[in-house]
Amino acid sequence: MSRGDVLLSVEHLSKTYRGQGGRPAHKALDDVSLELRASETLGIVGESGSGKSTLARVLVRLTGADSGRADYCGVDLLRARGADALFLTRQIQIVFQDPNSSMNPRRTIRQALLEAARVAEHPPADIQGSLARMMEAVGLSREKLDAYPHQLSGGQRQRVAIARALAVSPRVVVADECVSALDVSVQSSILNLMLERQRELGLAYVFISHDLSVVHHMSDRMIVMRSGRIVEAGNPSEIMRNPQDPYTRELIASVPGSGFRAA
Amino acid sequence: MLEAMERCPVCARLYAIVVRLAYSALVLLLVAIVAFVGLRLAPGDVTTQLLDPSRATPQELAFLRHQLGLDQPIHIQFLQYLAGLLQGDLGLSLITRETVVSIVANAGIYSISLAVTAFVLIFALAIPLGLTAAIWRGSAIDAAVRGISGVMMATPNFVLAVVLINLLAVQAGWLPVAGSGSWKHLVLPALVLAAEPLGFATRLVRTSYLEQAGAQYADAMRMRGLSESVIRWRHIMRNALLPVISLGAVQVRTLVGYTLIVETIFRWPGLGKRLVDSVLTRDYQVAQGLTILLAAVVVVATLVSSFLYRAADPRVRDE
Amino acid sequence: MTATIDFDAPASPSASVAADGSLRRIVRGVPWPLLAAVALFFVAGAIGLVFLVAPDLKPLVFKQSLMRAFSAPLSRGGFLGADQLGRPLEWRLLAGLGISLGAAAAVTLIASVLGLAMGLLGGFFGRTADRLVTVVIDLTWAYPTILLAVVIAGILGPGVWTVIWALGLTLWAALARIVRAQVLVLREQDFVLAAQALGYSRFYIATRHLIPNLMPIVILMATLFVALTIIAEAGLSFIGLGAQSPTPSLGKTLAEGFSFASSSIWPLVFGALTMISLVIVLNAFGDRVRDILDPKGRVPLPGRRLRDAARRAEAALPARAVDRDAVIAVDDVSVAIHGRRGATTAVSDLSLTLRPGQTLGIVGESGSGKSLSARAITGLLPEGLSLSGGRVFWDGVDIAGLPAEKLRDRRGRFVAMVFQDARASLDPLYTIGEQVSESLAAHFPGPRRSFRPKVLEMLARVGLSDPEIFYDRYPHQLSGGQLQRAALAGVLVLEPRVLIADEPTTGLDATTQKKIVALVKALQREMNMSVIWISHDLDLVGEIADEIVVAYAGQPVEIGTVEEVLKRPAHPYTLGLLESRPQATMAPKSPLRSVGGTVPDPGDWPPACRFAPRCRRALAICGTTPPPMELFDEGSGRRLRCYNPEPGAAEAGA
Repeated sequence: MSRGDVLLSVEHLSKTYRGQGGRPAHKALDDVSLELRASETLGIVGESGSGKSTLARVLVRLTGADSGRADYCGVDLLRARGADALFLTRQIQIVFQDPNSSMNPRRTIRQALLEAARVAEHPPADIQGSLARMMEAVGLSREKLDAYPHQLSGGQRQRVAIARALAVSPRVVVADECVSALDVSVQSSILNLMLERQRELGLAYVFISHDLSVVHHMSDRMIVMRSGRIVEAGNPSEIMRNPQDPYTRELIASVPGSGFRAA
Repeated sequence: MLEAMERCPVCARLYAIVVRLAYSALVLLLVAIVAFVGLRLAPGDVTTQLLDPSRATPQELAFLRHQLGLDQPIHIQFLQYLAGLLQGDLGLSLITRETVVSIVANAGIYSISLAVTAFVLIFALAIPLGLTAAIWRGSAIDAAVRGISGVMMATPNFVLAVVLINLLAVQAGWLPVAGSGSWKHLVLPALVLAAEPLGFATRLVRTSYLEQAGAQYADAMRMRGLSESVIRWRHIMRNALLPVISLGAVQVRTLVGYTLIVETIFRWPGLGKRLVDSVLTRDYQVAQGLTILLAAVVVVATLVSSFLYRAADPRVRDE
Repeated sequence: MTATIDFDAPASPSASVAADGSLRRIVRGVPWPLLAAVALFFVAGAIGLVFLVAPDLKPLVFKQSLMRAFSAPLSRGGFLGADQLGRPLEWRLLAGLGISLGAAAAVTLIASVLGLAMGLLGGFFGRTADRLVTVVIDLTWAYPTILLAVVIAGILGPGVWTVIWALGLTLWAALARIVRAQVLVLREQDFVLAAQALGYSRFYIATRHLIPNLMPIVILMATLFVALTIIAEAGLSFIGLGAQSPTPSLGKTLAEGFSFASSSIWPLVFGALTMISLVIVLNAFGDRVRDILDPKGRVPLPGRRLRDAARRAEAALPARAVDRDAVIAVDDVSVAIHGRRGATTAVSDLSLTLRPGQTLGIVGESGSGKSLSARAITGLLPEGLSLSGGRVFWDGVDIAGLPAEKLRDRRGRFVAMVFQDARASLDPLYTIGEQVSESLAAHFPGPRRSFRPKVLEMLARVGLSDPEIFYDRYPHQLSGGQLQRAALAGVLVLEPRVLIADEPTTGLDATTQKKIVALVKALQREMNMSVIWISHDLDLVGEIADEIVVAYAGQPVEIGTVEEVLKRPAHPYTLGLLESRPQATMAPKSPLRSVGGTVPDPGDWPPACRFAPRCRRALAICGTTPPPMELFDEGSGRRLRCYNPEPGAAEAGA
């Protein structure tokens, strides 16, 4: 597929969590539609309860949807089984937020990456070489392979999480608040890593965050979500300059610092 | 119906209570089934107790079986038993010919007096001791309380019984060795019964208090200038004693189990002793009835404890 | 019996999970005499079992020679004497020990496997399975262990196997409950989700990811099971429902010793001794194992009171002129953490002044010591920390010299603090109204009820419209933003001169954050308060504060006005922080400047300049001599701790 083709197409996706024991039902996704093209970054910005994390989980099939469609290169994401499911696993991967729980604390980095490499069916003969290359690609030395997660810093653990996601050579990576839990000085290096990997591998990102300035910086196109709905979508700079939706305006005004005030 | 409950939190709470009651009833039913079926797994049945199989004819055995209703399919038997239960008929002791109900009435008083004495002892001592140890943490009192409760937790109750009987009854003669009849007969069994749960409860209270004492709300209150005594007695205490409510149910369960042993050792004529005796003599109707009764006590205690906890902790009410 | 299992204890999700296998940690953590004692018991038990089974040796256990009945210890060659049937006591006890330990091992195995499997089933394999498992657990729970043992004795007849089945079938439920609770937490962890995203089956995840992380709790419970079984088996044997003749058992020996105590006390004495020592050793071992696997926040030595530590430091310090106009003055304060291996400095060289009506921002990342600095200013450090140097002045008065009661009174009225986690700052068992009233009740006379009007007014002022409703609400019924407003109400109702806000908006939505910031600003103006605002967000602090303190690795490195620090940063770290943020002026998707490396932990600070290893502008001197905090700009009072500041920081034309 050439650059710019539509990879992921989501139409009218909805999901409601049933209420339990007196709590009301909660509409997590409400008629969400979007498109993702090859090698581009789609940014999704929203606050708590906006549904952005639910969307991330639906895209990697950790949870289902109640209605709507989601297609990846012609394959039905929501109902994939067997060979289709394996195909999707190898095409769309995810990086999570919490560097403290992204790795099994009882297993080494090597074991964690092996688990991912096995899904990718790396040639077993050179599997160790593969692992070393994966580490170097995210800026970590291969010596760290035999370390345990608690011996690495938060930033380093996130790098491993990225390596794990990239192990299957996906074309789409969903990044769900993957720098939000890191210190500011570390965030930028992770973001740079992600940009560099994208350039080199032609990845498409679904970049999810509550941090408007970061999403604006990383995305080719941007979506603003609130209470499960998309309230605004388009070019990031356009949205910042000329927000149409009142919620978007409020969100922009809430970003501290004058860097992003409408000119 | 769910929408109606969204609008009326009180209704939601009532519904939760009703569900909880229904669930307990279900567990009780299952308890009865398990006891019923379980005891019937015993090799041979009661007919062999009443008639010597080597001398009775097969017809006599069959007739007796029919008389006792033992030739019916098991679920029919159970339903008959259940029907009887609801009418207050728990069966008959085949050895002594008493009804199980009368056994419960006679022996129950003894068991209740023993268990209640132990229960009161446990909480009347554990709470003050545990709190004192926690508040005076690191002091000699704390060390003493921890040490003694540790020893109490570690000593098996029958060993303690042996030791106490030897010291206080045989050697010193202050208390009777066993049996019943006066308040003096209650002392040793109650002490033995309460010892280990008391040790455990004391430790729990102490740990619970210390956990709360380090909580952020305590610091936040100090920041606002609240006095230590207000923080301690109004806040830390209440939070620390919440787990004690759950502990109550656990201790009831423990005590029900331990009374079996303690009553047997001291020949205290309570339900526990009757149950052990009935098992040893294969008087299975009594065994069944008492088993179900005792298990029911545990289920009810758990239920009561969960309601008390709801009343004490507002977070649980809205779950 | 030992520790009846605490069924309703919630699983601690924060139970530290070190990478080392649990067994390795246990072996290393338990003192060797204890390990040896446990091993000794097991070996003795094994020997006893061997004697029980080996045909030639059976007579040692079973010989019934009434000639030797009740012989005393060490008489006629016997070691511990003989019991009523002439059986040598030492072999009898060994065999009994073997039976007890064997039963314990069997029960522990059954209960552990069953408990683990059921807990996993309920927690990880769907709601129907969960409901089923819960019902079975509750059903099992209804039968106290001894009761079930008695009943099973009725079915299978008494005997050691009866005890084993009975205990195995009841004890698993306790483990299953705890495992299930833990699984519910574990399955939300990212590494589990990641494995699911890679397409691994639930069974694989359960065995490869969940079980290894559940081992600590399984081992913990196993130690309890062993002790419980020993005692239960002995107890049941004591009343005749356990091991039957001729099988030996500790309980039986004790029972026999008890009945025949009038003839000879030796069986009773030695039986009891064996029993008690076994239980004590097992309990001590279990306690140690529990401490190793689930340390419940071991609190270090109690922190010394602020007063004492400060007095000691006072003697060493030369008296320095302190700005008496300042509402708060902090002079060269350092804070130390007292751990097992001595004291580690967490904050050092903290000096700052706060003027009336001023807003001071303290900015730093994790490890900068900003929160501890704030606590030091209030004179209230968490347990285990103390002031290891310097002085803090409130309105010109050294708080180290104030008696505790005066200090308490001033706290709240003079300086008050709100924390990052507002939910944790409130007692979950009392309503919002009650807790805000308490603030007033602590400082003013009168019943709590009398403060209601003031409290309602304050609740409205912090933006909780419908204050009547919020007055009666409990903390768990409020959202994060509402809780922070409530916490502010609780603090501001006392109209303090100084408010210290420690990351009050971190974790809140940006829109909520903006409202809280606006609220604090408005109330500050109305009440003429000074504010110290702590945050990791430079831009946010830039919006609120007049002056900024930038902190790195426990130390202030740059102090200046907002204009100076944000527009013309002097310290390389400050510049690095600013440049790491995406700016509107940057081209989209262009690489950001970043500061390489990581923040060093307290105790690992570089000897001289703490930022030197990560600094682009580091000079040789930065690695050898700690840079002092010096005046950078005479006119504005800007201070800097750096040998090689950024060019362009100096005022043009200064």
